[in-house]
Amino acid sequence: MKQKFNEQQINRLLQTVGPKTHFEDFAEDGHLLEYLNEFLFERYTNEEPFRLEMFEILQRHTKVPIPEIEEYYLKFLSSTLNFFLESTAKWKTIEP
Amino acid sequence: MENNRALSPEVKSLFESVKGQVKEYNNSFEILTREMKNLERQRVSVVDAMALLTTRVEEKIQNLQEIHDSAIKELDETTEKAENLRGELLEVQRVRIQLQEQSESITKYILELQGAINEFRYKSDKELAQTIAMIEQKVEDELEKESQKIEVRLSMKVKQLETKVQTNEQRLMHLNENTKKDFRVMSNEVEGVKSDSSRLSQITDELNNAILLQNDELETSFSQRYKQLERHILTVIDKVEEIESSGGGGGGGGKPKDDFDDWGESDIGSVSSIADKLKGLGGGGGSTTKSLASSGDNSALAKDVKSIAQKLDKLIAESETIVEKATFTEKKGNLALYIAGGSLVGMIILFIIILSK
Repeated sequence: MKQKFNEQQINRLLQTVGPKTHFEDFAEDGHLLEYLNEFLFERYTNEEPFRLEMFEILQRHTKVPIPEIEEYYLKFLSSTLNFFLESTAKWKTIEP
Repeated sequence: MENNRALSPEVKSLFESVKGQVKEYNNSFEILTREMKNLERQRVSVVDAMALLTTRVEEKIQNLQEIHDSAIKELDETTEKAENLRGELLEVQRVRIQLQEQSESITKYILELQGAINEFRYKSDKELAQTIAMIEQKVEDELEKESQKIEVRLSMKVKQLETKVQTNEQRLMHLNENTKKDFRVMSNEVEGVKSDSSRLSQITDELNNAILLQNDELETSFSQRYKQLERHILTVIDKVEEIESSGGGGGGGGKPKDDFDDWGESDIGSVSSIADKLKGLGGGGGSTTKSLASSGDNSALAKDVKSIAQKLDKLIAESETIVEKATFTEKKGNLALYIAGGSLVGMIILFIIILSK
């Protein structure tokens, strides 16, 4: 029986099997954010996939909390909860 | 998330609390979805029931619509009939009012007319009685005059008819007497004819007997004469043979005339007697009756026959004249009867006319 993998698992496998990038080296050393702000600031700020990829690398290799990642996740959580609240707002108005 | 060192523990606890709330929400959502599915099923069943109800209701509505339409139609018809009846009722009421008015006017007119009629009746009765009395008087006068005239005429006519009847009766009497005389003459003549016929039958019987006797005598005389003639012919043939044998040897080629010249007087007399006998047998009368009539023995009989024939002719002529007279008298009698009957019928008709008048 063939085992099916989702995209996230495939990415993890690629990351473990694939070659190590210089972004990962900077992340292990704790200089990736400095590098991105210094050399790839526009791309890091404008390109969402690239930023998410960088966040992934940072989460895997960092040893201290990163406020930008916390902000990103909290914003995402906030937007999700807002969407949830907006979706369920009409239910609250219905009287039993 | 637990191994993620990029997030602070506060944030991680926050996410954990959110995760717990999400689980609770998820459970509640599952319950809600279940309930929603139940509700959806119920909704579908309700929708089906609603559709069914809708179709039924539509059918009912259609039926009700049809009933409504028919009821409306009937109602319209009844309304129309009621309107017509109402119109007719109004017309009847109007006509009734008119009739009442007319009856009132007619009663008034009748009262007036009755008064006028009574007045007219009184006057007319009075005048009519006067005129009837006058007419009766006139009619009686005229009837008396006319009856007198008719009586005079009838008496004259009755007298005339009586005289005519008397004359007709006299004529009838004469005719009866004449017919009786004619019948008497006819009966006498018929008796004479009967006697003549009996005499004629006697004469015919005698004649027949005489004819039979004569016939027998003739047969006997004929046979005698035939035998004599035969003998004469034989003698003549013998003499001719003798003459031929005596003169025929030397002059066989001579003429017969020359031979007859040589005959003697006795030969010529015998031949002429034979010829006379032959003439008496074959020629002369041609029939036995003529020979009988011409012979001296039968002359009286012939005379009788002639006289009988003449009498018969006379009798036939007299009978014809009698028959003609009888027919004439019969015609006259019929004519007299017709005249008498006609006169009687005329008299009866005149009497009937007089009685009817």
